[in-house]
Amino acid sequence: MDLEYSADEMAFREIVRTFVRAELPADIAGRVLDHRRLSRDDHVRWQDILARKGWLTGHWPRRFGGLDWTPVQCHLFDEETAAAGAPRLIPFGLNMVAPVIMAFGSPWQQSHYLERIRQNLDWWCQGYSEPGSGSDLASLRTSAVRDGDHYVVSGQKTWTTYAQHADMIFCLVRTAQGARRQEGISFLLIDMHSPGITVRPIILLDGEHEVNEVFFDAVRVPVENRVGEEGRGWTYAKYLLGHERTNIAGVGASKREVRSLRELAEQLRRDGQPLARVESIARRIAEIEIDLMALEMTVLRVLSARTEAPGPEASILKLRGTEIQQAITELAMDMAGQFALPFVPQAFESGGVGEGVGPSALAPLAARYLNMRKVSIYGGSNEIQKNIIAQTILGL
Amino acid sequence: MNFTLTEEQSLLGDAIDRFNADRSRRRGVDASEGRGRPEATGESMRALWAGLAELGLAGLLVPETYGGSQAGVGGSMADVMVMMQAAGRALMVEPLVATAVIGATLLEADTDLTRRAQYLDRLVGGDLLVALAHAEPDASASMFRVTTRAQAQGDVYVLDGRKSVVLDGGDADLLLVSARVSGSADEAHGVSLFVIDASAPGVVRRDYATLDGHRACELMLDAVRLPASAMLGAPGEARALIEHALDRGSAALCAEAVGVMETLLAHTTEYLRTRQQFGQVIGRFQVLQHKAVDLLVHLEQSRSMAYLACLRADAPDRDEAARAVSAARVSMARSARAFAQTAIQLHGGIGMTDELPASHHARRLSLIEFWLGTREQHLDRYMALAARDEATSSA
Repeated sequence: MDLEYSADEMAFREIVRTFVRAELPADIAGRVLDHRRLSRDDHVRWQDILARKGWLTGHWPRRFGGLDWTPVQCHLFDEETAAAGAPRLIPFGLNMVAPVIMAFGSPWQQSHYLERIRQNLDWWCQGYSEPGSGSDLASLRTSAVRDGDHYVVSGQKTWTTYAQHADMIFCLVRTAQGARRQEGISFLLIDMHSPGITVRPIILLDGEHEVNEVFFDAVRVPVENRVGEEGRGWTYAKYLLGHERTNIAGVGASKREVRSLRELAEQLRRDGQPLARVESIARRIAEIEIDLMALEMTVLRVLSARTEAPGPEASILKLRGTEIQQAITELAMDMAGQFALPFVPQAFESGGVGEGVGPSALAPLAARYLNMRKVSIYGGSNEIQKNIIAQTILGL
Repeated sequence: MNFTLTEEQSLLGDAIDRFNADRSRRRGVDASEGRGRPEATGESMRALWAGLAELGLAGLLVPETYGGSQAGVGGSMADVMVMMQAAGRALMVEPLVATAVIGATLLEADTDLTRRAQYLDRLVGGDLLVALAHAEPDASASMFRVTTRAQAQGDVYVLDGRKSVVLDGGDADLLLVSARVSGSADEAHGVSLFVIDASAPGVVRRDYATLDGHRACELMLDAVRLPASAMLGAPGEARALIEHALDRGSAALCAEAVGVMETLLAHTTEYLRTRQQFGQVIGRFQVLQHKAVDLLVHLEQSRSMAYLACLRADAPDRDEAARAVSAARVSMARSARAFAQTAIQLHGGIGMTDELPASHHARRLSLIEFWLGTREQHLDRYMALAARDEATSSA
């Protein structure tokens, strides 16, 4: 029993660190570290750099063009890239649909879509939630009616993150009205450039355009784009959720943000004294740091025990990970105090430094606080995670 | 990075569980009900301790050369973690922390090699109970305020002072007492550790029970005359040694809390699955399910932090060790308290009764954080170390 990384793991970390130092564009890192808005191009540029190195899919199995990274290597990669200010990888293709295609997809889907994800050629988004189907996802109504070699898809998806950038969407659709609601659901891969798809932005309470409504009006989807069997989509969706919840712990990014809190506490003054010396603030930073230590140890325990996809214990990581992410943004806003108030949208844009009021680092903090309320809602709300834990682990 | 128990460690945990199950069976109670004081159950504490020593628990941390660390297990805090989790599961009250963890750590540091061999041999055999007497009546603000004086008079030291809430001090054969040989109360240097026979003239103990089922004593030292050789280690430089022993003790308590939570979670979910109200089992109510999930999250976090504390407590970088242990203590304190509150609440009225075994676990969890430094003290220590860390890294 020991907590040390092996010599190989330490060497791996060093290789990642050196590469990121040399290759991560400074302008992108600057925006991430300053909490500015990222463009589609920022994400694509960074993911292209990783794709050329083969690291975009380092965590994939070799037979799909990955590098077979161990869970610990994945953790180190996440920690190093996050620390340097790399944008988080857009997970919808890489970590969500890809494992489903690997496990249940056809040979054609595997060679075509996985290869395109590996090369960062497609931007994927997720078509799960609908206006009437949030936590109760199995009630979804977007329909897919078989017509020869095609399905004709009609309905509406919502909360679709970055649909405005996307080339592809993976969708849960209803192909039959079964006795059990879960049984009539199928899993389709749909080209976002298909005729009949309309994307309408939803502006969130922080002023951001991150999510969308996606309307499907008799969209024709080739049958070969169905993953696995018709009517088994729910099984595939549950498989995917396990993968989503581990990524959601966000330890690497939270460690970076705690460092950022400490820096902010040195810069900001209250009554002439750095906030870092103000007892009430210093205590809250320390408590968050301790919570994060516990989360990281739990992540490492789960990772080192894991051989296949993570089980329900991933729900614990999602719960604590999101609570900590939110606590960090809350404290940052508290530290900003009155300077959390001015809302100067240009200050979120790159190069917009200086147009705000008060120290420039503070301009995005309140908006970020509001934005981060999402993390306890998406990916299965924290209350749904508790239902899962109560039923599957505690047997209630 | 490896969180797997060795086969020997698994066997150790099983052996302790079996020992406790056998003892419970003899008493006609369920193994997870907790043990209670031997005198309350008509058993002999010394006989029980001898049994635990036979399992290798008394000498778990003692090197093999002194007879400890038998059967491929022992010598590390990872082993202590296994032992303490099992102790927590059965709510053991034997002096594992006082003697097997803190006492063994201090005696192993003895530079008098003959005495070290003698005492460790007796300790391993279950024939010697040890207690560290360090805290004092007005020393709550700092874990290192020592006013008990040791005056050099010729070739003897004369000790005067009072020690408070000495864990398992009433039963101890040997008291390890911190006393100031020089300097003012809060100075880092000037504290020595003295080995005192509990029956020495001038030593008065007032033994009492604590609310969580353990025992402690107040220790009065009135002109206790000791030869210079009673000093353990270099004069005036005992602080680092005591701190290390206390950190090991703290890590052990973190692991014990995990075991207590395991049993209490099992009791609580069992109750939720069987208790009926409104025509159904109450575990069907979502508001109660979510509270039960909070318990599981506290347990898993505490388990993670017990790993961190136990596997870092002996780190060569003492600041790193102290930071990890104090972080774990802060986390454990918060979780233990919240866990106990929620478990009692989920049981409702029956959770308030002394008759219910779960209430004994809740009592231990409510009070475990007050042994060896409170949550606030550990948070202050963590913050001081973090600030020091920052200062050196920016220098």
